[in-house]
Amino acid sequence: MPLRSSATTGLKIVIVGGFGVGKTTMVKSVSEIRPLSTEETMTRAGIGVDDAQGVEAKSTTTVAFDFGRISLNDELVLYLFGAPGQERFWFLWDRLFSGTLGAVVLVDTRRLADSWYAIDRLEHHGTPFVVAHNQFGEPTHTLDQIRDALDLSGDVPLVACDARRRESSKAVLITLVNHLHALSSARQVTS
Amino acid sequence: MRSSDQELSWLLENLLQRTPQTRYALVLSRDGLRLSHTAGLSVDRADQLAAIASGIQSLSYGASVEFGDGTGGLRQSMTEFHGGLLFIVEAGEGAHLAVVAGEDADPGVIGHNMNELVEQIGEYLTAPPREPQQSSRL
Ligand SMILES: Nc1nc2c(ncn2[C@@H]2O[C@H](COP(=O)(O)OP(=O)(O)O)[C@@H](O)[C@H]2O)c(=O)[nH]1
Ligand SMILES: [Mg+2]
Repeated sequence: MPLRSSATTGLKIVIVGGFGVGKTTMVKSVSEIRPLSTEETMTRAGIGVDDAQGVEAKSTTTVAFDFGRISLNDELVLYLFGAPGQERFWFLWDRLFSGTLGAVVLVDTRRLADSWYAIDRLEHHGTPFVVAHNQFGEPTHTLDQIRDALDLSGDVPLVACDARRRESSKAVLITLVNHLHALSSARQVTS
Repeated sequence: MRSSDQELSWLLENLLQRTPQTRYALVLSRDGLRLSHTAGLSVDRADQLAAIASGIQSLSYGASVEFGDGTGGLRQSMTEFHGGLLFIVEAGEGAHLAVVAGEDADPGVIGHNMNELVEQIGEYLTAPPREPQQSSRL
Protein backbone atom coordinates (compact mmCIF):
# COMPACT_ATOMS: atom_id res chain seq x y z
CA MET A 1 0.00 0.00 0.00
CA PRO A 2 1.63 3.25 -1.05
CA LEU A 3 0.02 5.11 1.86
CA ARG A 4 1.74 2.85 4.36
CA SER A 5 5.18 2.77 2.80
CA SER A 6 6.78 4.29 5.89
CA ALA A 7 6.05 4.57 9.59
CA THR A 8 4.90 8.12 9.20
CA THR A 9 3.35 9.06 5.93
CA GLY A 10 2.78 12.73 5.21
CA LEU A 11 0.14 13.58 2.66
CA LYS A 12 -0.20 17.03 1.21
CA ILE A 13 -3.84 17.97 0.87
CA VAL A 14 -5.32 21.18 -0.51
CA ILE A 15 -8.66 22.66 0.43
CA VAL A 16 -10.20 24.69 -2.36
CA GLY A 17 -13.47 26.38 -3.25
CA GLY A 18 -14.94 29.82 -3.72
CA PHE A 19 -14.67 32.91 -1.57
CA GLY A 20 -16.23 32.56 1.89
CA VAL A 21 -17.12 28.88 1.59
CA GLY A 22 -15.30 27.92 4.80
CA LYS A 23 -11.79 26.81 3.75
CA THR A 24 -9.95 28.79 6.43
CA THR A 25 -12.55 27.71 9.00
CA MET A 26 -11.93 24.06 8.16
CA VAL A 27 -8.12 24.26 8.41
CA LYS A 28 -8.44 26.08 11.75
CA SER A 29 -10.96 23.65 13.17
CA VAL A 30 -8.95 20.48 12.46
CA SER A 31 -5.35 21.59 12.83
CA GLU A 32 -3.42 20.19 15.76
CA ILE A 33 -0.71 22.85 15.41
CA ARG A 34 -1.26 26.58 15.48
CA PRO A 35 -2.45 27.15 11.93
CA LEU A 36 -0.56 29.56 9.73
CA SER A 37 -2.97 32.33 9.09
CA THR A 38 -2.75 34.82 6.27
CA GLU A 39 -6.07 36.43 7.03
CA GLU A 40 -6.28 40.10 6.25
CA THR A 41 -9.05 42.52 7.08
CA MET A 42 -11.35 43.04 4.13
CA THR A 43 -11.10 46.67 3.11
CA ARG A 44 -13.50 48.98 1.35
CA ALA A 45 -11.40 48.53 -1.78
CA GLY A 46 -13.01 45.10 -2.09
CA ILE A 47 -16.63 46.24 -2.12
CA GLY A 48 -18.06 45.08 -5.41
CA VAL A 49 -15.09 42.75 -5.96
CA ASP A 50 -15.26 40.29 -3.06
CA ASP A 51 -18.88 39.25 -2.82
CA ALA A 52 -19.70 38.45 0.81
CA GLN A 53 -23.35 37.78 0.15
CA GLY A 54 -24.56 35.06 2.49
CA VAL A 55 -21.48 35.39 4.73
CA GLU A 56 -21.98 39.02 5.77
CA ALA A 57 -20.23 38.37 9.10
CA LYS A 58 -17.01 37.55 7.27
CA SER A 59 -14.50 40.33 8.00
CA THR A 60 -11.21 38.82 6.86
CA THR A 61 -9.96 37.05 3.76
CA THR A 62 -7.03 34.76 2.97
CA VAL A 63 -4.34 36.45 0.87
CA ALA A 64 -1.74 33.68 0.65
CA PHE A 65 -2.77 30.30 2.05
CA ASP A 66 -3.84 28.56 5.24
CA PHE A 67 -1.61 25.86 6.63
CA GLY A 68 -2.37 23.29 9.29
CA ARG A 69 -1.57 19.70 10.18
CA ILE A 70 -3.56 16.76 11.50
CA SER A 71 -2.49 13.21 12.40
CA LEU A 72 -5.24 10.77 11.53
CA ASN A 73 -3.42 7.94 13.30
CA ASP A 74 0.15 6.98 14.25
CA GLU A 75 1.13 6.54 10.64
CA LEU A 76 -0.79 9.09 8.71
CA VAL A 77 -0.23 12.83 8.88
CA LEU A 78 -2.07 15.26 6.65
CA TYR A 79 -0.53 18.59 5.74
CA LEU A 80 -3.38 20.90 4.91
CA PHE A 81 -3.09 23.86 2.58
CA GLY A 82 -6.12 26.09 2.22
CA ALA A 83 -6.11 28.02 -1.03
CA PRO A 84 -7.24 31.63 -1.36
CA GLY A 85 -10.61 31.77 -3.12
CA GLN A 86 -10.72 34.93 -5.18
CA GLU A 87 -9.67 35.10 -8.79
CA ARG A 88 -6.83 37.55 -8.08
CA PHE A 89 -5.08 34.82 -6.08
CA TRP A 90 -5.57 31.94 -8.52
CA PHE A 91 -2.00 32.37 -9.75
CA LEU A 92 -0.93 30.76 -6.45
CA TRP A 93 -2.86 27.57 -7.07
CA ASP A 94 -0.38 25.88 -9.42
CA ARG A 95 2.34 26.05 -6.79
CA LEU A 96 -0.03 24.91 -4.08
CA PHE A 97 -1.18 21.98 -6.18
CA SER A 98 2.31 20.69 -6.89
CA GLY A 99 2.99 17.58 -4.84
CA THR A 100 -0.64 17.43 -3.73
CA LEU A 101 -2.07 13.94 -3.38
CA GLY A 102 -5.67 14.92 -2.94
CA ALA A 103 -8.05 17.80 -2.48
CA VAL A 104 -11.23 18.77 -0.70
CA VAL A 105 -13.57 21.03 -2.67
CA LEU A 106 -15.85 22.92 -0.32
CA VAL A 107 -19.18 24.10 -1.73
CA ASP A 108 -21.88 26.44 -0.50
CA THR A 109 -25.23 25.76 -2.17
CA ARG A 110 -26.06 29.46 -2.25
CA ARG A 111 -23.11 29.98 -4.56
CA LEU A 112 -22.45 26.69 -6.28
CA ALA A 113 -21.00 28.28 -9.40
CA ASP A 114 -18.05 29.50 -7.34
CA SER A 115 -16.80 25.92 -7.08
CA TRP A 116 -16.72 25.13 -10.80
CA TYR A 117 -13.35 26.69 -11.28
CA ALA A 118 -11.80 24.60 -8.49
CA ILE A 119 -13.26 21.38 -9.87
CA ASP A 120 -12.05 22.21 -13.38
CA ARG A 121 -8.55 22.91 -12.16
CA LEU A 122 -8.36 19.68 -10.16
CA GLU A 123 -9.64 17.62 -13.06
CA HIS A 124 -7.11 19.31 -15.31
CA HIS A 125 -4.27 18.56 -12.87
CA GLY A 126 -5.52 15.00 -12.45
CA THR A 127 -5.66 15.51 -8.67
CA PRO A 128 -8.18 13.21 -6.93
CA PHE A 129 -10.74 15.04 -4.83
CA VAL A 130 -13.85 14.77 -2.72
CA VAL A 131 -16.58 17.40 -2.51
CA ALA A 132 -17.90 18.57 0.85
CA HIS A 133 -21.08 20.59 1.22
CA ASN A 134 -20.42 23.08 4.03
CA GLN A 135 -23.86 23.57 5.54
CA PHE A 136 -24.83 27.06 6.54
CA GLY A 137 -28.14 26.68 8.36
CA GLU A 138 -30.84 24.23 7.30
CA PRO A 139 -29.90 22.17 4.27
CA THR A 140 -31.97 23.25 1.30
CA HIS A 141 -30.60 20.74 -1.18
CA THR A 142 -30.01 17.01 -1.07
CA LEU A 143 -26.59 15.65 -1.90
CA ASP A 144 -28.05 14.14 -5.08
CA GLN A 145 -29.28 17.55 -6.19
CA ILE A 146 -25.83 19.00 -5.54
CA ARG A 147 -24.19 16.17 -7.45
CA ASP A 148 -26.44 16.89 -10.42
CA ALA A 149 -25.89 20.63 -10.26
CA LEU A 150 -22.12 20.16 -10.17
CA ASP A 151 -22.28 17.47 -12.84
CA LEU A 152 -20.08 15.28 -10.63
CA SER A 153 -19.35 11.77 -11.77
CA GLY A 154 -20.61 8.98 -9.52
CA ASP A 155 -17.16 7.97 -8.32
CA VAL A 156 -16.37 11.34 -6.71
CA PRO A 157 -17.37 11.15 -3.02
CA LEU A 158 -19.76 13.90 -1.90
CA VAL A 159 -20.47 14.49 1.79
CA ALA A 160 -22.04 17.15 4.01
CA CYS A 161 -20.09 18.88 6.76
CA ASP A 162 -19.92 21.75 9.20
CA ALA A 163 -16.47 23.25 8.70
CA ARG A 164 -16.57 24.83 12.15
CA ARG A 165 -16.65 21.44 13.85
CA ARG A 166 -13.44 19.50 14.23
CA GLU A 167 -15.02 16.05 14.07
CA SER A 168 -17.04 16.97 11.01
CA SER A 169 -14.02 18.38 9.18
CA LYS A 170 -11.97 15.36 10.17
CA ALA A 171 -14.63 13.07 8.74
CA VAL A 172 -14.28 14.86 5.40
CA LEU A 173 -10.52 14.28 5.44
CA ILE A 174 -11.03 10.61 6.28
CA THR A 175 -13.40 10.33 3.32
CA LEU A 176 -10.65 11.78 1.13
CA VAL A 177 -7.98 9.42 2.48
CA ASN A 178 -10.28 6.43 1.93
CA HIS A 179 -10.96 7.64 -1.60
CA LEU A 180 -7.21 7.91 -2.28
CA HIS A 181 -6.76 4.41 -0.89
CA ALA A 182 -9.51 3.03 -3.08
CA LEU A 183 -8.02 4.70 -6.16
CA SER A 184 -4.53 3.36 -5.48
CA SER A 185 -5.85 -0.15 -4.77
CA ALA A 186 -7.83 -0.07 -8.02
CA ARG A 187 -4.69 0.98 -9.85
CA GLN A 188 -2.75 -1.91 -8.35
CA VAL A 189 -5.41 -4.39 -9.41
CA THR A 190 -5.41 -3.20 -12.99
CA SER A 191 -1.62 -2.99 -13.35
CA MET B 1 -8.44 58.35 0.67
CA ARG B 2 -8.33 62.05 1.38
CA SER B 3 -5.53 62.94 -0.98
CA SER B 4 -6.91 63.00 -4.50
CA ASP B 5 -5.99 60.10 -6.73
CA GLN B 6 -4.16 62.40 -9.08
CA GLU B 7 -2.01 63.86 -6.36
CA LEU B 8 -1.17 60.40 -5.16
CA SER B 9 -0.12 59.11 -8.56
CA TRP B 10 1.98 62.22 -8.95
CA LEU B 11 3.75 61.44 -5.66
CA LEU B 12 4.32 57.86 -6.79
CA GLU B 13 5.78 59.01 -10.13
CA ASN B 14 7.96 61.40 -8.19
CA LEU B 15 9.21 58.54 -6.01
CA LEU B 16 10.30 56.67 -9.15
CA GLN B 17 11.99 59.74 -10.58
CA ARG B 18 14.15 60.37 -7.56
CA THR B 19 15.01 56.70 -6.98
CA PRO B 20 17.40 55.25 -9.57
CA GLN B 21 16.48 51.97 -11.26
CA THR B 22 12.90 51.85 -9.99
CA ARG B 23 10.23 50.80 -12.49
CA TYR B 24 6.81 50.79 -10.86
CA ALA B 25 5.19 51.94 -7.67
CA LEU B 26 1.82 50.77 -6.36
CA VAL B 27 -0.33 51.40 -3.32
CA LEU B 28 -2.49 48.41 -2.42
CA SER B 29 -4.96 47.43 0.26
CA ARG B 30 -3.96 44.70 2.70
CA ASP B 31 -6.55 42.38 1.18
CA GLY B 32 -4.78 42.58 -2.18
CA LEU B 33 -6.49 45.24 -4.26
CA ARG B 34 -4.90 48.04 -6.24
CA LEU B 35 -5.50 51.55 -4.92
CA SER B 36 -3.13 53.71 -6.98
CA HIS B 37 -0.14 53.11 -9.24
CA THR B 38 2.32 54.68 -11.62
CA ALA B 39 1.47 55.01 -15.30
CA GLY B 40 4.01 52.43 -16.51
CA LEU B 41 2.01 49.66 -14.91
CA SER B 42 -1.07 48.52 -16.81
CA VAL B 43 -4.23 47.96 -14.80
CA ASP B 44 -3.94 44.18 -15.25
CA ARG B 45 -0.36 44.15 -14.03
CA ALA B 46 -1.24 46.44 -11.14
CA ASP B 47 -3.98 44.00 -10.09
CA GLN B 48 -1.46 41.17 -10.26
CA LEU B 49 1.16 43.02 -8.24
CA ALA B 50 -1.41 44.00 -5.61
CA ALA B 51 -2.41 40.36 -5.04
CA ILE B 52 1.23 39.20 -4.93
CA ALA B 53 2.35 41.96 -2.56
CA SER B 54 -0.49 41.37 -0.10
CA GLY B 55 0.37 37.68 0.04
CA ILE B 56 4.06 38.35 0.65
CA GLN B 57 3.29 40.87 3.40
CA SER B 58 0.91 38.49 5.09
CA LEU B 59 3.43 35.63 5.06
CA SER B 60 6.05 38.05 6.39
CA TYR B 61 3.77 38.90 9.31
CA GLY B 62 3.53 35.17 9.97
CA ALA B 63 7.34 34.92 9.98
CA SER B 64 7.56 37.85 12.35
CA VAL B 65 4.99 36.43 14.76
CA GLU B 66 6.62 32.99 14.84
CA PHE B 67 10.29 33.96 14.68
CA GLY B 68 10.51 37.65 15.60
CA ASP B 69 9.83 39.32 18.92
CA GLY B 70 6.23 38.18 18.80
CA THR B 71 4.67 41.56 18.07
CA GLY B 72 4.22 40.77 14.38
CA GLY B 73 5.96 44.04 13.56
CA LEU B 74 7.35 44.29 10.05
CA ARG B 75 9.88 46.70 8.61
CA GLN B 76 9.82 45.73 4.99
CA SER B 77 9.64 42.73 2.70
CA MET B 78 12.12 42.43 -0.10
CA THR B 79 12.37 39.83 -2.84
CA GLU B 80 15.24 39.58 -5.30
CA PHE B 81 14.34 37.67 -8.43
CA HIS B 82 16.12 37.26 -11.75
CA GLY B 83 15.66 40.56 -13.47
CA GLY B 84 14.46 42.68 -10.59
CA LEU B 85 13.65 43.50 -7.01
CA LEU B 86 10.35 43.91 -5.21
CA PHE B 87 10.05 46.04 -2.07
CA ILE B 88 7.00 46.34 0.13
CA VAL B 89 6.49 48.54 3.20
CA GLU B 90 3.46 49.30 5.31
CA ALA B 91 1.79 52.54 4.34
CA GLY B 92 -1.18 53.99 6.23
CA GLU B 93 -3.84 51.94 7.99
CA GLY B 94 -4.76 48.90 5.90
CA ALA B 95 -2.46 49.74 2.99
CA HIS B 96 0.97 48.81 1.65
CA LEU B 97 3.36 50.52 -0.75
CA ALA B 98 5.18 48.31 -3.29
CA VAL B 99 8.03 49.21 -5.64
CA VAL B 100 9.53 47.12 -8.44
CA ALA B 101 13.11 47.98 -9.38
CA GLY B 102 15.86 46.70 -11.65
CA GLU B 103 18.42 44.15 -10.50
CA ASP B 104 21.15 46.70 -9.90
CA ALA B 105 19.08 49.05 -7.77
CA ASP B 106 20.36 50.05 -4.34
CA PRO B 107 18.07 48.45 -1.73
CA GLY B 108 19.11 50.94 0.93
CA VAL B 109 18.10 53.92 -1.16
CA ILE B 110 14.82 52.37 -2.23
CA GLY B 111 13.84 51.44 1.32
CA HIS B 112 14.81 54.87 2.56
CA ASN B 113 12.83 56.72 -0.09
CA MET B 114 9.77 54.52 0.35
CA ASN B 115 9.75 55.05 4.10
CA GLU B 116 10.23 58.76 3.59
CA LEU B 117 7.16 58.90 1.37
CA VAL B 118 5.12 56.93 3.88
CA GLU B 119 6.19 59.29 6.65
CA GLN B 120 5.10 62.25 4.57
CA ILE B 121 1.76 61.01 3.35
CA GLY B 122 1.12 57.68 5.08
CA GLU B 123 -2.02 59.01 6.68
CA TYR B 124 -3.48 59.43 3.21
CA LEU B 125 -2.49 55.95 2.04
CA THR B 126 -5.25 54.07 3.76
CA ALA B 127 -7.79 51.37 3.00
CA PRO B 128 -10.37 51.37 5.80
CA PRO B 129 -12.05 48.11 6.82
CA ARG B 130 -15.40 47.28 5.33
CA GLU B 131 -18.35 47.97 7.58
CA PRO B 132 -19.60 44.81 9.27
CA GLN B 133 -22.60 43.36 7.44
CA GLN B 134 -21.70 45.38 4.36
CA SER B 135 -22.38 43.18 1.38
CA SER B 136 -21.28 43.76 -2.16
CA ARG B 137 -23.38 45.91 -4.42
CA LEU B 138 -23.38 43.30 -7.15
N1 LIG C 1 -22.99 29.17 9.72
C1 LIG C 1 -21.79 28.77 9.30
N2 LIG C 1 -20.84 29.68 9.10
C2 LIG C 1 -19.63 29.27 8.66
C3 LIG C 1 -19.35 27.92 8.40
N3 LIG C 1 -18.09 27.82 7.93
C4 LIG C 1 -17.60 29.07 7.89
N4 LIG C 1 -18.51 29.94 8.36
C5 LIG C 1 -18.36 31.38 8.43
O1 LIG C 1 -18.34 31.81 7.09
C6 LIG C 1 -17.34 32.78 6.88
C7 LIG C 1 -16.38 32.37 5.79
O2 LIG C 1 -15.47 31.42 6.23
P1 LIG C 1 -13.93 31.34 5.76
O3 LIG C 1 -13.42 30.10 6.41
O4 LIG C 1 -13.19 32.60 6.02
O5 LIG C 1 -14.05 31.14 4.19
P2 LIG C 1 -12.92 30.95 3.07
O6 LIG C 1 -12.93 32.19 2.25
O7 LIG C 1 -13.38 29.76 2.28
O8 LIG C 1 -11.61 30.70 3.75
C8 LIG C 1 -16.70 33.03 8.23
O9 LIG C 1 -17.31 34.18 8.78
C9 LIG C 1 -17.05 31.79 9.03
O10 LIG C 1 -17.18 32.06 10.42
C10 LIG C 1 -20.38 26.96 8.64
O11 LIG C 1 -20.22 25.78 8.46
N5 LIG C 1 -21.59 27.44 9.08
MG1 LIG D 1 -9.87 31.73 3.59
